[in-house]
Amino acid sequence: MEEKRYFWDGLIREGNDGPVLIGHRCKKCGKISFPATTLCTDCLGQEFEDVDLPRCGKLYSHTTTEVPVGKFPLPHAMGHVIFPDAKVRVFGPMSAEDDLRSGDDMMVTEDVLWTEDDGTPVWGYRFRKVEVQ
Amino acid sequence: MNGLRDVVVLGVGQTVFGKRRGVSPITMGVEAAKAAIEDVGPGFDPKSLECVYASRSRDDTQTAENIMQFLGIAGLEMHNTENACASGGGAVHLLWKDIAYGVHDIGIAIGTESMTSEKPGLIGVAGGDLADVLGFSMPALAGLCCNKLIEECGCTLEDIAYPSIKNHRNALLNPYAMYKKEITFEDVMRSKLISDPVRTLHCCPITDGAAAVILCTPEIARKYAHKLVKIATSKVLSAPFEKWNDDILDTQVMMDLAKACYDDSGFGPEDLDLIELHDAFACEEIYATRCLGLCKAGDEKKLIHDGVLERTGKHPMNVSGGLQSLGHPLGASGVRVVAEVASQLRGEAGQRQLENHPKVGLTQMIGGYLTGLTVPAVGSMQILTVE
Repeated sequence: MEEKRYFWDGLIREGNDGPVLIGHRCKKCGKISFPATTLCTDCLGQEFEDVDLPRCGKLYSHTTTEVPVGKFPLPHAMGHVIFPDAKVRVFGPMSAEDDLRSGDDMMVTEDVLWTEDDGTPVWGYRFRKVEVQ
Repeated sequence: MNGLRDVVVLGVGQTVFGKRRGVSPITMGVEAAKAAIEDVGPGFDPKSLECVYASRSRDDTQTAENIMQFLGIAGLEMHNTENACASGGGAVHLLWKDIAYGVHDIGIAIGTESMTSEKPGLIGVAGGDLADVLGFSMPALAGLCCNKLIEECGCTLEDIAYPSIKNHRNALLNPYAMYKKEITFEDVMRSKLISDPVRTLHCCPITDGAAAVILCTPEIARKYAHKLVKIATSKVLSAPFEKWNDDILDTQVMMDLAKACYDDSGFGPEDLDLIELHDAFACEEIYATRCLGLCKAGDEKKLIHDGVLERTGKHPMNVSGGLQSLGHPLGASGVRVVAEVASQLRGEAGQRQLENHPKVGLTQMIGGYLTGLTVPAVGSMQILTVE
């Protein structure tokens, strides 16, 4: 089987319970960055280790773009999800079918973000609204 | 301020801001610079200029050198600046700094841009940035902020549309504006949905234009003018790094600029008789009120309903018609707002002149986006005052 093509390498991996985003923890001060960085903006540390971000976070902000942008199918929903335990805010695509409101519980999933002209699907992460008990 | 020299506005000029397809940014820059030179008066020799700063956010090089050669001026120190929507504010700032620190006594800042010559589409963010690849755009940022205002500050769709409606009404008095037509809430809601809840009429139009200001020492200015408008302070900042729990409506770069400008000038938000700022999207005026200290977070809606930002209010905002009616030629807007506030403080703003004899005005331009920094990524601010 052909390998999946991702829009950006090193952002997502398959965890024990499903896909997770890969945070980048500074070995010196513990600050987690997403996406990966070469320099910690808090302490200027340059050594990092990968850590899994939690699968679920809270929706911080959202909007749905209705006019062409990149190769995304329309409508294209997007926004920020925060992971309070990891102290990280991540921007990303959302599911356009979800009725979104700040504070919603969101789960990271792996999905096709767009399809190239030659039919190649391009994969990445997408947040979906979930009911958390 | 801290032993720096006073810097005053000697001349201002601008083109009409509108769709000028096929007219080059250089031609428009020449037009604005000539207007600023003529504004000084018949005895002024433009060859007395000592330095030139040109701002332009889109491609091409040597904009300053190219414009000035059509004015018969070469052989001076010239620079070209780019800083997204704050490009023009940066050109004014660098010129201000040269004069304040005694490097030069007189110079010109020119901002120019042709937006109609660009490929149509949403204004994006820095190419190659993660958000850029994920389809983020400036209208999407406005959409995120509008939904925050609605969900957390009690704003309605009417409140979100208000700055656009007000600024279109203000533009009826401005001969330089592209739009001179009143619009209603129904017009806004009938316009095309771009990035919910942002519609076309919440967004500034695509326009071309240029503006120029000549700054100098008070000693030079007194030869030409009786009423000296001083740039009491000028700042340019990049946004700080984003924290996971920042409030997106607390535009950090604007708050930092306002604090620095108030500290330096001794003026405070209560002193502002007019404000010209970046209203590329109508919602920006709403949360600018908290960032500039005009009200507390959460009180934005009350401020609007009390008419504080109207021409007749305590803090008139974008009496020119703002970017909502003039559009936003990226390199030009930051220079235009300084020209606009200077005209108002001199009492020479024609039909749109505020009647309450404004004494203190604030200009602001913010823009750009980079993953990792608070939004937007860069800003400029000046406080102007008249003797």
